[in-house]
Amino acid sequence: MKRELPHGYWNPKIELMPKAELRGLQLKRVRQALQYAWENSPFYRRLMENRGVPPGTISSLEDFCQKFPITRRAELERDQLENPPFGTRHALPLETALRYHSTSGTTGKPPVRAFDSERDWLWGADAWATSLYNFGVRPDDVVMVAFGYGSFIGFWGAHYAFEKIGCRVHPTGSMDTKTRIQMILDLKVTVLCCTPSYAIRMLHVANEEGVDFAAKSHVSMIVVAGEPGASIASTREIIEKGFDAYLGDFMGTTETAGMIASTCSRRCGGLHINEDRFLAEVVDPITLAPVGYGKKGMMVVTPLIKEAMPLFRYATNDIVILEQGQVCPCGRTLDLFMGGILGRYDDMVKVRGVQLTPQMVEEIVRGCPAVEEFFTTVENRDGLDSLLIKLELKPDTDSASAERVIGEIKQQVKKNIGLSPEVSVEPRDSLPRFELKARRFRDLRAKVE
Amino acid sequence: MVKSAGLTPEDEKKLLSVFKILEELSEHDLPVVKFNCRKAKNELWQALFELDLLPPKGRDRS
Repeated sequence: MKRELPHGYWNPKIELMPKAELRGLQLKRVRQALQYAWENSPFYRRLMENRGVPPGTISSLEDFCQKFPITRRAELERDQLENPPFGTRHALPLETALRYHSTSGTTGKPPVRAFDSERDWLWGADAWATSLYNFGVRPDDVVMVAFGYGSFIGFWGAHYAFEKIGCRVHPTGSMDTKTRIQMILDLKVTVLCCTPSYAIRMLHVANEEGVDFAAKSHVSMIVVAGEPGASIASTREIIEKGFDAYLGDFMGTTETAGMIASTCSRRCGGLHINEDRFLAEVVDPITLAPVGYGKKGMMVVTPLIKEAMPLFRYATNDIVILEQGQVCPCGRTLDLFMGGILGRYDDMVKVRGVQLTPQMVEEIVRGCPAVEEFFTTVENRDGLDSLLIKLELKPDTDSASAERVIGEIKQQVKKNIGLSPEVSVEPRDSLPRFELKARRFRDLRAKVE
Repeated sequence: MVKSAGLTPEDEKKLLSVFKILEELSEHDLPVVKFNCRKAKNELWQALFELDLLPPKGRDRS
């Protein structure tokens, strides 16, 4: 690797705070947020009245997690459909909005629209700045943000956070991949900010152009978000080796508009949660009971300060494992999501009795260096559920090597997942490429009657 | 009739003293203080510039 990541704390008062004190701070902020929403947000006022949980009934974090209902995306969608365009959740008049954004819409569902006040926006950027600084970003870094700068929140917060830290930031909204590659070399970019899929795409294009990023570029940190790729070992290895750089995983959601958890410079394999800004719970997706430390569950998150659009106990559908902060050598007391986002409950499908997530396939396919791109479907073939993996291989792969890759993937999927997939090699550039939020998995069974 | 918003000598003093404080805190060891104060200082600098109140040392935006 090019250089050791510098260790430091953005805000040691919070990051090293004893747990009991931190829980006290969270409770204070939860109660303030509830009172604020009660007074200003019609959506939450209605919900609190209907469920009999006005702010006064919440006197502990346990109370909050047990009594206060979960908010699901479908409820936000319904509220916005019935009360367009923003629904009734907002606690400030629209005139005070500083910034509009929406979810990416990649799931095929209607996008959830949100707006932020100036304070919300600064808060979101500050949460990003905390995470970036703690990963190792410093004022002398030169940053490329490879992102479309559209209404999807994506890396907007990161952009402002890099500026706050004092980095030189190169936004590359409309640039193509080749131009970005040349820019990384010419401007001596040290931090690349993009999705994991796009980092891999850059490596492929660089390879075609005869550019060896590991040898020629100054990139030492890659900040990724938007997909679970950074936490998939084989995907992480491709990116870190290809750039000879450290990969940091940054987790947020559009609905919360802030950085929830991220990799620190000690890279223990978990993402520290910004617990002064978010109350994170991990619950069983069916019973909604807390699963405790060390067990898989669904992340439920409450941003503790949201002025324009308050949000409480939001069911993210992300699969995570909560771990105590002390397992990381960085010294932070902040809890971790171990292994990052392990998948999404709404992406999980059952194939012949096996629970399958797209990440399970990606882990195996990305382990084959000859694979450039892939796409997975689950289809009904003659009444049988079948897993199909389509591959695009690197241009220099001969037919014997291709056969070996197919055999290897079939064997690994059988061994690790317990399914026998159909694996095929497709013509070059026939599979979709992604800059944002890759969707390489489709369940086509629902279309078969 | 709309009352024009004037800047009193006291207001000017306050603005300059806030700028001085932010300038000092922009050198603080704590990143959360240093970087937020630096940004706030540079935003305030805009107001001082437009009001032609910049102190001699305040012309450096770094």
